[in-house]
Amino acid sequence: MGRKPSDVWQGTLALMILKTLETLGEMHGYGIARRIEQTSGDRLSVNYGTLYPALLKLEQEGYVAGEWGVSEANRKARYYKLTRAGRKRLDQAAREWDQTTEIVAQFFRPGEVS
Amino acid sequence: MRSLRAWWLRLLGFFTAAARAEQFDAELQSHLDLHIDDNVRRGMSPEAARRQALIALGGAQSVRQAYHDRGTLPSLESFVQDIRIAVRMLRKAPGFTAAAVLILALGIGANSAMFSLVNAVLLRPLNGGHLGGDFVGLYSGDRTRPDRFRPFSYPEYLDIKSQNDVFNDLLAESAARPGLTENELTRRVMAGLVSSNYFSTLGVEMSVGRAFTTEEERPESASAVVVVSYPFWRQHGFIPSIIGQSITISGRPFTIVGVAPQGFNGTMPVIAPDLWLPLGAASLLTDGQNIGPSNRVVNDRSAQTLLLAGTLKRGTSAAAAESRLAAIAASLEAAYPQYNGNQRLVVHARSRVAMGPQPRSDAGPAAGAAVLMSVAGLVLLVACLNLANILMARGASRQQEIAIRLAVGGGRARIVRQLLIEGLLLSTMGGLAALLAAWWAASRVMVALTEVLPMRIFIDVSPDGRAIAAVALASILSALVFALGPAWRLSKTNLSTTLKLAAPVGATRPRRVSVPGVLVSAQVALSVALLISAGVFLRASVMAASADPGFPLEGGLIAEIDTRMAGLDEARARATYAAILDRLRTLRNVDSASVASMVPFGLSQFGRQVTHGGVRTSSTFVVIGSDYFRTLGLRVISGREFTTAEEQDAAAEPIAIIDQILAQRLFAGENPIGQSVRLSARDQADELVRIVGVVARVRDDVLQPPDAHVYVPFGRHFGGEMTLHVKTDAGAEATMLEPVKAAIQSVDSRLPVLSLKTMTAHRDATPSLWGVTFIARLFVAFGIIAAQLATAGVYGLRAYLVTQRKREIGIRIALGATRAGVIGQLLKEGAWNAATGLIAGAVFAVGLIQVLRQTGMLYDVRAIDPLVFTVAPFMLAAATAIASYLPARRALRGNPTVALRAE
Repeated sequence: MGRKPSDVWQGTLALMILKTLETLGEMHGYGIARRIEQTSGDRLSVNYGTLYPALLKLEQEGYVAGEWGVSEANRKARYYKLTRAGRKRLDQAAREWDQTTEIVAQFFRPGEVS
Repeated sequence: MRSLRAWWLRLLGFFTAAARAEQFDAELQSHLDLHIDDNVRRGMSPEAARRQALIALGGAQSVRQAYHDRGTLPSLESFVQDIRIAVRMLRKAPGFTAAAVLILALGIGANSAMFSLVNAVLLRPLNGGHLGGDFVGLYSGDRTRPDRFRPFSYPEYLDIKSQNDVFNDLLAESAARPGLTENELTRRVMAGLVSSNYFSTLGVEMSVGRAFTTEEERPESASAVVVVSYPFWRQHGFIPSIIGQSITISGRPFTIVGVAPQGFNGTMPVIAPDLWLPLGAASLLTDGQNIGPSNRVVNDRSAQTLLLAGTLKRGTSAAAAESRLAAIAASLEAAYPQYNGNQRLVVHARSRVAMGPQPRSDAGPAAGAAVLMSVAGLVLLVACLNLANILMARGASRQQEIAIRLAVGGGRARIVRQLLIEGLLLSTMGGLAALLAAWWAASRVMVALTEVLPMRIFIDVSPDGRAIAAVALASILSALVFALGPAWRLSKTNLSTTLKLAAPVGATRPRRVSVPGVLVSAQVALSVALLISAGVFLRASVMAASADPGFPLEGGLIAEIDTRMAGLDEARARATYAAILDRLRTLRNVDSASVASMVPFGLSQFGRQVTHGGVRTSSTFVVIGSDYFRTLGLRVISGREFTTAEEQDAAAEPIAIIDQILAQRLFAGENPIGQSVRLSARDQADELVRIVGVVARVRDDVLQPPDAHVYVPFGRHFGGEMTLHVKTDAGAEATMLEPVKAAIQSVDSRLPVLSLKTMTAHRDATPSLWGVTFIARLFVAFGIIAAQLATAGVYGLRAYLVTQRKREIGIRIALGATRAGVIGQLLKEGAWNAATGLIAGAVFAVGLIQVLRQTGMLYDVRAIDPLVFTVAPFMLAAATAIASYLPARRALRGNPTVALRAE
């Protein structure tokens, strides 16, 4: 389409992080960013200036927990993983997301609104 | 929930910012390393891999800032930053800071001290209040006479307790002042006479031992058991073996069965009892006395001596309770029409200041407290206006700093906030100093008060949460008053003129009505109003102290004794009194001696209704011995005194002596001698007495005009608690204190002399005189503080204006104006502020005094006392004149050419 990879919207980034952690289990910030970009087929680019504050916010809210660990390549990195509250939040958010997209989709389906 | 947790962590994060920044740096570094590894894996050269990774990361500093902002609360950070700046500003000006804190400490301290007292008496929760605040009194009214209330009899109490369904439990109480003998010494103590469920109704558990049993409550049980207070236990070293020990109360052995818990002060207002006795002990304490209301507790409906109280059941309002209790009143009325006719049961909150059979609201004391609080508020207002002026003047020198901040893009809101925070910092320091000063001052007042009251009181003036909150509120409000105005004006600085360093000549021409000028006038006005009020109270206290009691104080000496405390019954007590009077009358230097049931200016008074020929009036009732009027020095106008026979013989003919006031009311010009009047009182049998004498009027309260008195002989009216009056040769009274005491104790060594003092000392210690003197001192202190602040304010303003006009003054002198002329001009300008303030203040004072009259202490004082209304404004006028003159003189002292060349 000729457009640059768009920045992730606020709010959905938190959801993507949670979902990514659910898929990958433990992961560091860099890995999370790469994973989001890959999953979107490089249509999204994650801004690190928003990624780390978002991770900190999730940590403050108790949805993720961070801990220092060592990567496969023997690099020290801070690994994040979902907490039980985070898992619950993700389930709830996924349901809400389904609902919202369905409603919005209704508006764009021709001929079906009244 | 989640966002609250996050907010809390961010708040805590404020303190761990440095550690978090370090950790985040490590995290960013690892991020970079991982990215570089990735890039290398994709085949980039290490050099290129590193560059690409750095580009992708973007501005590391802005990432750090974003992370930092999320880790803490940015608004808190800038707030702390403002405080740091404020601290630095204040430390740079220690003189100003000290002055401002002192001014605020005085202003807030005046309020804080007043509030400590008000809080202690009117606001702290009552005993029993912890049960949910629905602890109420039950009162017996009369449906046909709404202002008439009476206590309950014991059988009535039992009926209401068992029949009602609105109280969780209902307690009955009365009070007694028995003697407590320890180590050969007997002192009078305050005791609660209480029902067996008293402690459980109040939700109180004994520290050790037990409460009273229902058997001990039974009036005929003569139960010699006692519950002692926690302080009593402490005095005895907390010995566990105190339970079961015997103590001597009013000459009889009582067994200690329990110790009340710490902090429990019973249910009497302000007074803390030392002991509690069961209702069944009342019969052990009373003698045959028939002077005042007895505290007889007997199983007889005519003996109405008990006060009832209890906690209402949850969800029951006072009104609902009253309508349920009406049915009980109706059934009591049907069963006992003689005692319960027209009975109305009233549920009402208990008073914090008075204890009695009638329900009382504390609106009167609350209004008085509000008046005193507002007067203290005026002092704080003067302090704030003063400080506002100082800040404005200081602001003039800070205008450049502020202009620079505005010029480089500082927001006006941020600057106002900065100045407000400086103000808050000052008022917080002032408030803390005030809190300590007020605690000290209020404790001193309490100590002074205990000296005039003969019992243990528990007015706790130590700062509690409420007092601290009040000081915090006063600090914040005063910061708003003194800092907001100057902050607003200063931040309105006109950039272009201020940044050019000096103001042009003539730009500072003073306007007659300027904001600082109005502030100074307001200070003068408020402080002159306070000084005038102080003067009025001083007049009142002087008049009270010099009020003619109706008899000379010189040579008078009084000793209070109570034969019940030595356990004497009526016959032995009478013999003892006769022997003591005999002994006293033969002492050297003693002119005469007598005995009376009350002393003028004393704390207790008993009354009787006096009826004659259809006229009914109430009168003070005094039981006296022979020679009483000669001993007191009160003139017998017609008829005679009582004889020694009448002093001693219980079967003598019933006679009385009345004073002029009663004679006027009942006989209006007719000769009262030989006539008969009827004396009646609730709880006593009526008595028809023949009048044998008329005496001069006597004053019982320094703040009230003399009232009617009826005197009856000691022979027919016995009481164990009497005061011995002794008249010594003029000037010898102070030296006779010891011989009088020795004479009393030579008759019965166990008999405690409860108080022994000269009549003059007694009058000086009377509570109403103490009260008016205390208020006068308080107002003088407030007035002086305010006047000093106002004078300093005038000085500050004049000094500032004169400094600003140095050049103008220099030009005038250079052009040939005389020094006197210039000083006159400057003084005239200052006089205008002072004069408007003085006039406004005097007018305000007239209104203020009308309000202060509500305290009932300004008896006999004119609303506009010419002396006070002259002296107080004159003092302040002189002070402000000096305050205006000094800066003017200083301005002229320098060489005018120096001022002219200054730029």
